[in-house]
Amino acid sequence: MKTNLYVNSVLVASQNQVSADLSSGANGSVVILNLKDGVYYELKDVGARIWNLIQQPCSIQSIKNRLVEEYEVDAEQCEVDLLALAEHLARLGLIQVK
Amino acid sequence: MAVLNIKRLAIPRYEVYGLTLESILPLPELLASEGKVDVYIDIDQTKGVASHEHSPILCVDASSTRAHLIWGGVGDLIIEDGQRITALPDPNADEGALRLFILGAGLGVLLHQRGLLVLHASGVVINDRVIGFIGAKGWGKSTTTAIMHQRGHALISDELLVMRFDDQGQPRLIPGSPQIRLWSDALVSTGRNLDSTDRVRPGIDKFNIDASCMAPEGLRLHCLYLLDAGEELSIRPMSPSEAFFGIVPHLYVHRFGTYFLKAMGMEYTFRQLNQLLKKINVRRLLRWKDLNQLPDIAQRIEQDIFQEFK
Repeated sequence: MKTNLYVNSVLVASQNQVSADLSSGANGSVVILNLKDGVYYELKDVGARIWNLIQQPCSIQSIKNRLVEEYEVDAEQCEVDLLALAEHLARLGLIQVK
Repeated sequence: MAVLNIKRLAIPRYEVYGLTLESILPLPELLASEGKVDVYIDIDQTKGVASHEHSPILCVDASSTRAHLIWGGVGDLIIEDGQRITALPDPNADEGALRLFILGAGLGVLLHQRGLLVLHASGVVINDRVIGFIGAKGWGKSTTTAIMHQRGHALISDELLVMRFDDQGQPRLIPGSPQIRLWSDALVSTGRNLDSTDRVRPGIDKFNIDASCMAPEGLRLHCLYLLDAGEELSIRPMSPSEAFFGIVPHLYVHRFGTYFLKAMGMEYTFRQLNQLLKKINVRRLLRWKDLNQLPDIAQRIEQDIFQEFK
């Protein structure tokens, strides 16, 4: 099932998961346990940063703005990658899209 | 009432993992206790659902407070409220196998029900530092523990490493029974005699050896070594996420699959594991699967602990 995602969609971590920030030094890492099926996931570096941002509801536009500020990344590419990650996380049931 | 009291006093009590067990089934592996009873172990002669044929241990029903395990050819175990284990033995069950079922899987589940973190691991104390060994089946947790114990290091436990978290979030170990289980080749390689050692149960080439020196309760866990294969003997650090995914398969609650884990509350265990990783080191111990290498492995671990914590 495809999730409809736009730059003004708001993302937030779902209630059906529990996560832990295991970042050490410059190496970002978040592990996530899906409480529905018991599967563990890991997000690294920019993915971990995005996960930390969406612990509170955040629009894709605002996440993109933060990432463009914090990382050397092309704004257009950032948006494409962000939409792909959001769709993947939504499909896994790890985030809610509003 | 007086008669009931007399009967109750006659049932033997034992201690293990900080608990006093009152068991209708004699448990000679454990130390006797006169403490206040925490856990009751009972036998129910009703027929269970386990088959008469030998099969792996399975969980057939679980909630947050009750688990029903079966082991073909041995029987059923009902573990409730962290306080009671009821065994429904197969009529032909070997008593040694039934004890193994109760003291292994039964206690593992019961300790989890009591809110403790239970790892499929073993542990010893080196120079006042507690270290644990985790690793896939057959990778030498017990063997490494046995050689360390033989070199004078007190045993915490074999098979289950059980801990609670204190007010500062430090993992504090609760010792198990004073025994280590070894396969015959490992037993021989640690200089012991097969003929004078008891088998864990008939028909299995695994033996119980008595530990002469047990660690006291409440020591803090410092380091876990993940036993792994490598071309040469070495000890390597693991990042927090590597450590996390290294430990997850050895959480005792993972033994019976996702259904069991969900029923028992996987969020709680996840948070315990996250807490553990904030307080301990986790290292990968690479070596060949060669029993002749045991003394070198033991020496290498001792050096690692002395260097790290001097």
